[in-house]
Amino acid sequence: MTERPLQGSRTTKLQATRQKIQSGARWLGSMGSELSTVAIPRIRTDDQAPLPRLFSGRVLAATFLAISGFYCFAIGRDRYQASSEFVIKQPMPPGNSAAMVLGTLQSSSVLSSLEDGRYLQVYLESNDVRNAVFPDEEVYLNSYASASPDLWSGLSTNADAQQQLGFFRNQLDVIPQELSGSIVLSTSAFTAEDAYSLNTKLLEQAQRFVNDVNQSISADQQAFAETQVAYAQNRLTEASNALEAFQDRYGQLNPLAEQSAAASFITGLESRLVDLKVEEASLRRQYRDPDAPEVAYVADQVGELERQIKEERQKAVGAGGRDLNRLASQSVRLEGDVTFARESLASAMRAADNSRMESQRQLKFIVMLSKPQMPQEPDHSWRWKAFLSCIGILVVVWGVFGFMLTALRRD
Amino acid sequence: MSRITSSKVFTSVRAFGDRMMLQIRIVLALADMEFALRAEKGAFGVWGVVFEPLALMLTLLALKILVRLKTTDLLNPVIWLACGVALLYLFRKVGIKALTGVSKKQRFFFYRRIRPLDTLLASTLIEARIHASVLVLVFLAVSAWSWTFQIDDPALMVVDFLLTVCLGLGVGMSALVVGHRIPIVKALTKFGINRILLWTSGIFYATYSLPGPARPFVTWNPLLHSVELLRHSINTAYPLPGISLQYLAICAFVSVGFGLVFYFSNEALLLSDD
Repeated sequence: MTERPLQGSRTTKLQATRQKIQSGARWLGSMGSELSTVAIPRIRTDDQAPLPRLFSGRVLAATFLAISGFYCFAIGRDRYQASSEFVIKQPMPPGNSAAMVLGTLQSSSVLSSLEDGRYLQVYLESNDVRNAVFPDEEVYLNSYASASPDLWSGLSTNADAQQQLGFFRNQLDVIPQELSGSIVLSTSAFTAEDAYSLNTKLLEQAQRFVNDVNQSISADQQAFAETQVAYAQNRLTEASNALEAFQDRYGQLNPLAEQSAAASFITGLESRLVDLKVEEASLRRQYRDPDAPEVAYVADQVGELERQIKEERQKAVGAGGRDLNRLASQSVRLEGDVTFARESLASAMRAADNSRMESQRQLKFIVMLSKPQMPQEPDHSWRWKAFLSCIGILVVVWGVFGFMLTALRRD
Repeated sequence: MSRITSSKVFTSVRAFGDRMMLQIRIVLALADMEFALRAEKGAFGVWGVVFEPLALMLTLLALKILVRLKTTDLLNPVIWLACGVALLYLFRKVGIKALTGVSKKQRFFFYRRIRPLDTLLASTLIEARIHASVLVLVFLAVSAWSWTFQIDDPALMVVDFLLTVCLGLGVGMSALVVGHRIPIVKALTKFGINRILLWTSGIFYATYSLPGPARPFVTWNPLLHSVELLRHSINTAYPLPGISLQYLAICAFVSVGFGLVFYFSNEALLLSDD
């Protein structure tokens, strides 16, 4: 079996071609079971499948494309876009930097700006900012209201707060740039003025946010430092008062010196006691009678001296006496408290001063790289993007879900 | 001299349309056949065809987790990796595998309507559908897991994917002829080009994480542009230093144009050999 050149009119040629495809496919099918079970149904589909089923898929796809094309290029409202770019700078950024994979280094100023940009991204998309930018809800709803013939886009007049916030978020894009650290702010609206105005107001909000954060951090740090100073001052006052009260009560004595004097006095008495005991022992060896007057005299002196020493010791440390040990330790503790409180105060004052200087050093501010411009003409890119997205939906439906269905059927 | 009438024009257009539809159906039939053949060869049947690249992706993901390779916090790491693996393997299966594709299908070329290009188109179609399915499955699974759905620029995603398919097809058309005529190229490809593509396509790294002076060593590869643009289409904050859609489009169209010229000037050789 060989193929022959096509002959006759075009319609005849087509019919002949179809017949040959079928016959060729059947022939190929006879060569291998795989093609007979796979290819022939596909090639014969045109002639044997029910026409409406075959037609409906194409019609649905074509209708979907036609409607989306008509909407995107004919009735879709113009959209205007305003963009600005800025960077959040700090006069003296922190000195550390982060290493990325394969050795690229991002400077600390870039990382700092990126971090702030991410906070700003969340803040600008918040409900607070929406309320600040559009304090009057009526104005907001009117600015973005749906308009004929494009009833699809825009904000419904009876949209609730959540829908309003969602729509607001869709109108702005805050994109921190990973490489440069700058932040690109894009806003879109149905008129050029609205897009420009929204961008400008959001920049004001960003500026306010950075200032508020700066002030808040500075105020917090300063308040904390001042609290610490006040606390240290109180402690110093209390310690000084306690020391003064102690000195008022016990006079301007020096317990340590007195304790030292008492100790030396007792030591002198004990030394004399030792001498007398030696003398008594010597006399007892000289006299046979232990009650001899000479012995009794010295023994009396020894006894008296021992009583005296005990009394002096009792006076120095006993509860009924002056208790020089306790006074000495109390005096030392109070003086230590005063010294510590004085040093704490000095340290707190130094920290407060450093905190004030650090707050000023870490102040951040917004540097505008590109100010928003009033859009001169509508942005048409959304039309192509939306249309291509519709094509993408079709491609995904046919390519992926159709494929999965085929797999399911074959399974 | 015959007059050109509207009925003649209509008939011509209809005939052209019919021929096109016929050719499309042939390609679809070949794609179905290849799908069935693969399903029969694989251990897991029909689903093995889909899950084979998915399993490869999971292996690479496990490897990435094992070596703790840093990716980026701009994209989910699974989606980030899936973008690279799906597009690279799509290109390899379409473009590079065409080097070995003609001889196995020689018996189909007896039928005049089936040409080597049709088999390549069928392979391209089925690979595109497989890898798109894998991408969509991974994306849906991750979105359901993380409860977030983000595609910032779906149009770019579609265009990027289609351009990658075109790029693979263009390279495949040239490879069809080259592989058939110069068999040594197959070995060279196996040991050389595949590895070069693997390491310059941005599967394991993001271009912006490379030092500036190192970027030109990888940005020559249009596949890198394709992979990075796909990631960028999911999150527009994903930076693209030295990456452009125009470069990818030019490479795709040039490869398709060159491939068509090269293929049609050597088609007879493909059919007559063996």
